[in-house]
Amino acid sequence: MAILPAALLLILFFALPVVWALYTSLTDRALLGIGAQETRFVGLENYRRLISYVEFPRIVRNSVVFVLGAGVIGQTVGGLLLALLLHHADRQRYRLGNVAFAAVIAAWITPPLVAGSIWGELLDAYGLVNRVASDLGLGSPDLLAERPMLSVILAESWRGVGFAMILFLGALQVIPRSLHEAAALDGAGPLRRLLGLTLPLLRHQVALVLMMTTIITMGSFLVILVMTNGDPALGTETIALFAFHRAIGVDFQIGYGAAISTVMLLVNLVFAAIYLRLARERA
Amino acid sequence: MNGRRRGAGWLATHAALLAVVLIFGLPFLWLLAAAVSRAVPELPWPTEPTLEHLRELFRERNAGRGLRNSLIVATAAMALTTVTASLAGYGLSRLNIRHKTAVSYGVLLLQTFPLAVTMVPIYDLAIRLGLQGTYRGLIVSHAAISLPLAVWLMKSATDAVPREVEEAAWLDGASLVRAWRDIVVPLTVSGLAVTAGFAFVTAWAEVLMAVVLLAIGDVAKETLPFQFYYQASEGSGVVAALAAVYIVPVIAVFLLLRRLIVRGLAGSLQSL
Repeated sequence: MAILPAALLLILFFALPVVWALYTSLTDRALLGIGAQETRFVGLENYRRLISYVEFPRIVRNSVVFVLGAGVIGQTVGGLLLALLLHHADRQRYRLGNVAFAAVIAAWITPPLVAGSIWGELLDAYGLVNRVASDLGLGSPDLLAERPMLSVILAESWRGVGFAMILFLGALQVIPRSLHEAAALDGAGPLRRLLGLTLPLLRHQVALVLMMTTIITMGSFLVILVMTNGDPALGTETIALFAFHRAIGVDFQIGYGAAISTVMLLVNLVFAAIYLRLARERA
Repeated sequence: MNGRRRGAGWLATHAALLAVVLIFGLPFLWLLAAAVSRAVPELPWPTEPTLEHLRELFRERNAGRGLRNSLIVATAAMALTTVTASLAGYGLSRLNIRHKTAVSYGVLLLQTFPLAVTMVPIYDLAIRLGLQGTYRGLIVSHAAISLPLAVWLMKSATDAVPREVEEAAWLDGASLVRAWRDIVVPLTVSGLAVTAGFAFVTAWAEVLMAVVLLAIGDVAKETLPFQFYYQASEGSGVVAALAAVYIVPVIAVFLLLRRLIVRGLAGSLQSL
């Protein structure tokens, strides 16, 4: 009984939309044009259209690069490094560690739109990054225009890395100190303890965080929306942003958008399956 | 001891920490500077300080109403999430449900479920069900978004309450609901605080559902993220001011509660 209200909400906003997306993706439902007056069943037409779209390979490639850059490197690797640094600072009782921790967390709770808007300004030709780079004699890069994908990856990583960091910090805190002390007595230096002790103990968490950040990053598009809106020439258009553009932001083609969402869902399910397997192994 | 601490290790760690502080902190300083500078500044301090952007926001762009509406929506969503999550966490922790572990991990997994997948059908359903332009739709959807992690947090918080305490109450004839209200709730206060904080921050940041569910031109119902969505690309001082008004309250709250929230988050996710 107690779980009913939550179950109801979860069904209403997670399960029902998924079923609805599956169904709608087989129709030509739209809010403008022909599909708006009378919705017809079109079978797999939307999926065929997506796969045969000339720019589809490019969008897939962008998504993979974005996930690898922001999810895997920026957030998982970055989050692990931050956690190791802050854990060390915490053990040594360095005050600056608390400030650094607060700053990372502040970035994490910054809404994606705001993060995108800030970094769009910081990275453009008149921004802080350009200014600092030219003061250091590194030329004057207009990163947002010249390396748009790198720019959105940086911004997304900046915003999201706090989540992974919290998870890793939690895991680091439960590693018994005595293990480290014993290893140190055996003559293992800091690097050796990190590689031979800490990282192996964290491998499950690393795998789980990797799955989570992959799924989250694949579905995350608001930072890109504000910074480049997928431009230039679809150079930063990812699959999630594409779904938004087709169904809500630009075209109002609900059926087509639902088909794109369904494809994303299938990819997510693969990662989710891996995640659940890892979780079960541990439980 | 102090002398040895300030060796190469001390220096390297502090250099790294300083870099982290700058990379994660300077963008906020820049934002605050831009909000009170006449022209958008390059550097993270104000040039030609002025309050004109803030004045324009509140006088002409309805930021006051946006702030009020966001507060209403986020508070209501927080309350709904916290109560339902507490109940569900209690259920998952105590009741004999089959495949309880799988259910718990499945719920947590939903937290990573991208809105990009569900936004199209939610948009479509909201239009068909006439939920567009209502707070009901907004509050309930915001609550649902933070619910998976909230349930997980409350399950861990409830797991930490010894069963014996409740069993004593049951023996005294208390019903399940009364045991929850009188015993579990008071003993999981810090878990509830973490959950509430998380739910509020999530609802405060949530923009997609606002864009999907609120109609353009319905000025009375605009929330801050909705306003920001339609103005963000302007790239002006006013937008920076709006962004500052938008994020300063929630960051302030979070920094105040950060020890509690992070300890709760890290603690309950340890079982991962």
